[in-house]
Amino acid sequence: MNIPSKKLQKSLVAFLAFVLALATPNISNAADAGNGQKVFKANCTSCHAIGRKVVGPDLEGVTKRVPSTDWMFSWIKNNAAVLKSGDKYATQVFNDNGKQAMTVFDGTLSDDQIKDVIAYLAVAKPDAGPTATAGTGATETGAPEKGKGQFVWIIVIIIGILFIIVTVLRTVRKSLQTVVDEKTGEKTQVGTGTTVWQDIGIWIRNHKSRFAVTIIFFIAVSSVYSWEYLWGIDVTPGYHPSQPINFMHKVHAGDNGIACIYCHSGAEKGKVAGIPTLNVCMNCHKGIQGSTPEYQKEIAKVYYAAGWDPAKGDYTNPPHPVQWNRVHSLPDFAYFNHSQHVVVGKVECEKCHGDVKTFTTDQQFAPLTMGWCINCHRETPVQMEGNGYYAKLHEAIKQKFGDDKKITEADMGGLECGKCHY
Amino acid sequence: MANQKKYWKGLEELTASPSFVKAKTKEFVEEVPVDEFLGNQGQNPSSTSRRDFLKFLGFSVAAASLAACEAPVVKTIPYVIKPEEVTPGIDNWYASTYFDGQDYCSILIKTRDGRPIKVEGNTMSGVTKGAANARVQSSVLSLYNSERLTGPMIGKKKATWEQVDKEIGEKLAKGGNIRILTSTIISPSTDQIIADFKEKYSGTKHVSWDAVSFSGLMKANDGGIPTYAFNKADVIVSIAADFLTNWLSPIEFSKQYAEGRKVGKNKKEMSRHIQFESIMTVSGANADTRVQIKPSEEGAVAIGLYNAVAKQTGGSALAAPSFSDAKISERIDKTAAELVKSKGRSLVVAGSNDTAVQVVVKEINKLLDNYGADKSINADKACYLRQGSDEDFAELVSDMKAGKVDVLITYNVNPVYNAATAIGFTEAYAKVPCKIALAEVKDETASGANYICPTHNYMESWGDANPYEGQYSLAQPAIYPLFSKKFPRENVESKYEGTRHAQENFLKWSGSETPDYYTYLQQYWKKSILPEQGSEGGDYMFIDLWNKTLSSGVFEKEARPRVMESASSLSLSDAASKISAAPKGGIEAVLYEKTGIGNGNQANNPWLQEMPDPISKVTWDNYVTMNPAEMKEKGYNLLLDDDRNASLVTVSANGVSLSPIPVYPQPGQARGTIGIALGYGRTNAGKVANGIGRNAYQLVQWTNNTFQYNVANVTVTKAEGTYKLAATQTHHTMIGRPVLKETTLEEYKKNAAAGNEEEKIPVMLGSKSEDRSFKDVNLWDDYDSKSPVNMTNNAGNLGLRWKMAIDLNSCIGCGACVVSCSAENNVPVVGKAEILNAREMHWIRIDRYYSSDLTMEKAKEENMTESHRMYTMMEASSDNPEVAFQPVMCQHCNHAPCETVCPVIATSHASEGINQMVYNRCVGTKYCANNCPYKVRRFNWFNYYRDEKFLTVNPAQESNEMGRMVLNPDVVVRSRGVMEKCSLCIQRIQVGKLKAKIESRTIKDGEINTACAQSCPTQAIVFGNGNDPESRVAKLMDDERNYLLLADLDTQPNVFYMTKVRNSDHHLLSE
Repeated sequence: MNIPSKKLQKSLVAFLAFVLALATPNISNAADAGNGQKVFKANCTSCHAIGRKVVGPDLEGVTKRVPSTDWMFSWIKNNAAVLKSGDKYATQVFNDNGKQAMTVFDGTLSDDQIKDVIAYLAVAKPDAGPTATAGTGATETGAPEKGKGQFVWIIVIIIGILFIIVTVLRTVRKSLQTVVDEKTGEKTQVGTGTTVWQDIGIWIRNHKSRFAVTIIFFIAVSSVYSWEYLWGIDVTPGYHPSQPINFMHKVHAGDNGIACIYCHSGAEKGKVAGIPTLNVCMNCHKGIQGSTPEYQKEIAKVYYAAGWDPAKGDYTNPPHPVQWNRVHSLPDFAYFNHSQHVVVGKVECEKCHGDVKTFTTDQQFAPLTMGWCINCHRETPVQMEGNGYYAKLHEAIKQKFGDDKKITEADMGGLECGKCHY
Repeated sequence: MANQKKYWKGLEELTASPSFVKAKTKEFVEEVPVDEFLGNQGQNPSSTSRRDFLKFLGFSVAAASLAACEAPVVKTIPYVIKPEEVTPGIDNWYASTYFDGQDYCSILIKTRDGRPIKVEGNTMSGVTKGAANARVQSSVLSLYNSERLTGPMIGKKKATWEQVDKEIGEKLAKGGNIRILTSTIISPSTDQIIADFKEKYSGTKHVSWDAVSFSGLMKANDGGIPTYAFNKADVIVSIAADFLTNWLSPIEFSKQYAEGRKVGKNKKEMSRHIQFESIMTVSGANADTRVQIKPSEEGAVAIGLYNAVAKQTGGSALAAPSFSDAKISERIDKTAAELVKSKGRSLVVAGSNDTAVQVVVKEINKLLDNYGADKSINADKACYLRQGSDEDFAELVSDMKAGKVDVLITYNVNPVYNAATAIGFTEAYAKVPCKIALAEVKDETASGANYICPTHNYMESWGDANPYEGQYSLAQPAIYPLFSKKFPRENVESKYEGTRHAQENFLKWSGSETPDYYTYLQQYWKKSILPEQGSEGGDYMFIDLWNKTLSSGVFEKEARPRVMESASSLSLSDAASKISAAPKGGIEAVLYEKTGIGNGNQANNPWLQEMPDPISKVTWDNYVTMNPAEMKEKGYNLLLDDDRNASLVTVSANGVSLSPIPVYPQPGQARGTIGIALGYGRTNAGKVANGIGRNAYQLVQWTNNTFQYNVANVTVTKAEGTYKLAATQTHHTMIGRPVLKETTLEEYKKNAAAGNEEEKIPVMLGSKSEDRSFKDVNLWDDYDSKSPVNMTNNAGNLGLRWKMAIDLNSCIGCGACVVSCSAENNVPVVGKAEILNAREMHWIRIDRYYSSDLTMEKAKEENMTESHRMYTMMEASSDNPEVAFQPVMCQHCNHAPCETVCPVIATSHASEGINQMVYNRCVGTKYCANNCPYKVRRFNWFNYYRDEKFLTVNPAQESNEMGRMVLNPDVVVRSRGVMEKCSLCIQRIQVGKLKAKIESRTIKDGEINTACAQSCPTQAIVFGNGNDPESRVAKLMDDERNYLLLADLDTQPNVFYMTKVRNSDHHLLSE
């Protein structure tokens, strides 16, 4: 078993807490179960759950199982000491759960917090377990842009209705004209054709300059729009494809504050930041199976892909590599290196990737056009201070341009083609 | 004056053939082939009219914009469990060893995301010292050879390893005569495994045999080849040994040779090299004095030299031989005098496989006192690079013929292809009841075997090597075997049965306790090679030492004194009489190895096929080389161009004939001789090599119990028809402008700037014309940082300024840079048909110039100003011209003519001095190429990676899953319609700079290196930051020999050249 021992320690603490809570309802009353839930979620859920075994034992009804609430309290506080004392129940729990030591919370959690946890465990209700099977089928997360399509259809329908109205009115007018003609015996007025097209032709002949202006206006507007449209081809900020696993950046980078670099470790080393490989996910998710059914479903997909069998606690199933849909895709002819920007340029991830902490699955934030790159190169000063590479150069630049000259990336040749295209 | 020499690249230029004149000023020899690249299969190319063109244009615009509207969904699949050492986008380097029975090289393999993509020399090796040649560079592509076997075969059927092992086990258990035929094995652990196998099966005999044999040299040296040190010789005499590209250990020797040949501020002496030979070899081309002899005279030259040296050192003379040309003996006397003068600091080597010749050469070296630990020959340090015995091989063949061999195991040999017809191996092979081939591909020998046990490529293998006594190196896999049944890390199974280490076959069949070769290798090294460890912590110490050795690739320990085998060599007088009795007469043929293809074992490698031969500049073929004057007499086509193809001939000797084979004029070839390259005419090598050229191994002779590669009494008769040879020699010519500068050592000692006089151009000043330096009439602003006037507000020019120095004195023309560049920069292979159209894509070319002493002055004196007469005279001097090599790549001009004409600014100048090329901006007007005076720009006429026309030749084809793996992911694969050229390996510069920035330090000199400079075995190319006064390149910038190519155009290149210095003997002759 390669599960870190800390987790079991944690589980046993929680288990004890539950037992304590059950045996001493008066403590439970005095303590705050609501606060206990928070503490439990923050400290215990990596190894424990209510209603199922994770690394440590299932804590449903644990307060009823344990010898006493005091026992549970001391167990959570310092399970190692309890074990050392040769406590029978403790030894049995330890042996039943793979002899993995639980975290010692003495010093980490206050006595009141432990009491709160025990109070929570006494009332806690089971959460749903992870679904046993999971595919890697894509889940729709991006909201389809229906609005635009509908708008176009509405316009088409309106134009159609107007056309029908015009045709009907024209027919009516023509019939009336014919009737009038018959009555008066006069011929049709000059300037009225027999077909719509003739009518239009006549109208144009009569309003040459107005027509020309309209046409020119029309061409100008459409040119502007097509120019913008063409520039926008393949420029897809906001691109938010569905992903086989509905990964929550919000939960990881936002709620839990995991540094971007922890998973995208390539960003500091080389050109590719990299999508974390499943062993990185499993570092944490061996223990964390998800607090809601939704999360559990997604995490089960991770297990499926990694070939991890949660029941056995080992990689015994065949692996199924995850086929992510790529969000940031630079063309081959543009060379981009993450480490250059992250380590040397000290650029924050958010500058190009947006506020990922609020994202679910990743979406494109920057337009990733050359103009966008170049703009940043024009504006961003080079991080010369403290970098030995620039030491000599910096002196020379100061001499040449003076102390207060802001040396941007562009000054350093950062606009030259060969910096990115080879 | 040396710089008034007339240089020419080929006879076409020398004689000013009409098509050459027509083509030389053009960047593109052919008209634009619109038909070809618009027409695809199914379409009649000639039917593409202007209307069709417009239709295509319209359609493609519409299609492109439609396709562009929706961004394709790109999948990204990360590892499931990432291997610890792999970070996507970052290289891993593994030290390993290359030995294919021909070249030994300690190497580093660059892998990217698990794929080997480049081979470079290992600077930690005491043998090859960081050098690598074209064949070693190319070997990475052989890993991805799509013809490789994927699983064992019984007869013609696929089988499983269990079946094969079971059946072979039964066959072996029956006993009988088992023979193992291998090429030279320098792996001590493999030797041990074979010894174990022999112990298990007592009827086993191991026969070593090399395709190009060194038996004669071995026998003459009492069974063991000594160690040579060309850097320790002031006078080097080679009798037909092409030690720079083929003989024994060319990588090592060229490095040593260059060491003795380099001159500079503090070294005004260089070694002198005299070459006696019949064909023009690379070594001969680099020689200071080259003497033409007939192949049969090699022995006579040796005896002549012996006599002349003996006369001066007091030895007894042998019977004096006679020569076809009186000049030869005159030359021999002069050479002997020089040798004696440098007694103890000289070296005589011979390429002959005749024991008698080698005995005489050995005695010459003894007379000259060249043997010793710190002298040019060290007989105490054994060289293990060739161990093949022709006698053993002949015995094996006769045993096979007599039906005495029950089981024949062949490993790393292909005798059905490359054993001489005279020995009759093929017939004998058919008589062996059980033939087992351990081979990577189903070659000529393996396809006739009963069992084929496919082996790993060397990049997938563990291994060790012991090239010289006391010097060891390890080989480690750089990739998991491509064809494996199981991939344990990924926990998946493949459809292939898989390959295995050749050694594992022997281990398995002999029932070893450690059937895993890696375990065996470790145990063997622990026991026999690495120093013994004490019992306490021994394992730990061993693992530590093993890991260190694996990381550096090499291990050296004190050499054991050589154990002399029975001295079986000939006495000197016997040798002399054998030499005089050797066959001679008629037309004599030399069967030689080409620099690229070598003995032919990598013939299926398109990089090697496409690499122009350093001398003939012919690609994709072998041919008969012949003296041009003789060809004229015989009425063969001399000038090969669009209209005239090479004549075809039939070459026959001793009942074997090659037909038809084209004839190629080779200036410098001795009259009455022809040369044919070995390694061609493969039938089962793979789709690249099959059917290219003719198999010259058939003509190899069996004389005096050795294979002889010189064949006397050859008949050459004209055959029907003509043939197109794809030679690059007159492509991309610089129209005879003065690009090559050279001087003699004598002149150089007097004046370091000799031969490098500044050119002046006539300038009109008022009404007077005056000769001024081009620098005075410069219209442009200077870019160089040394005069920091420009680059306003740009801090860039304060930092780096990339410069490249090319020392013409060190360049031996071997072509390692060409292949290295192709590998690094994804340069497409275009195939013979396109090279015929002068559309080769190599970013670096090596111009080979012939020259003669005839100067304008001389011509005037002799009243030959009329050009026709002058050329006629020069044709005579083309009999034995001097040769010079000049690598030319983009010169990265500061005033680049290409940059000013590009309508879309696809090519521009960087502040670091690099002329940049942006492929995705290029619209293919080709203005730049037309305006480039150096003709270094290459146009992509096709989508080489997609067009089916290049399916067989281009390894990077999209449909070729294997070949594509060799592509460097940092460099774009260029598509049709764009221009490309040398980028000074800008991807390496960028990575190098980034590394320094991350580590917060300045760039170390030599840390950033271009592929060509890195691979150059003689370090003729030096690359670095010219703004760093301590860099090697900055020091060379101050050298008096440096000059710019076509300096008078004032393009101010960042690449500069160093005058060639010949240690010529004009002064000796006039004595």
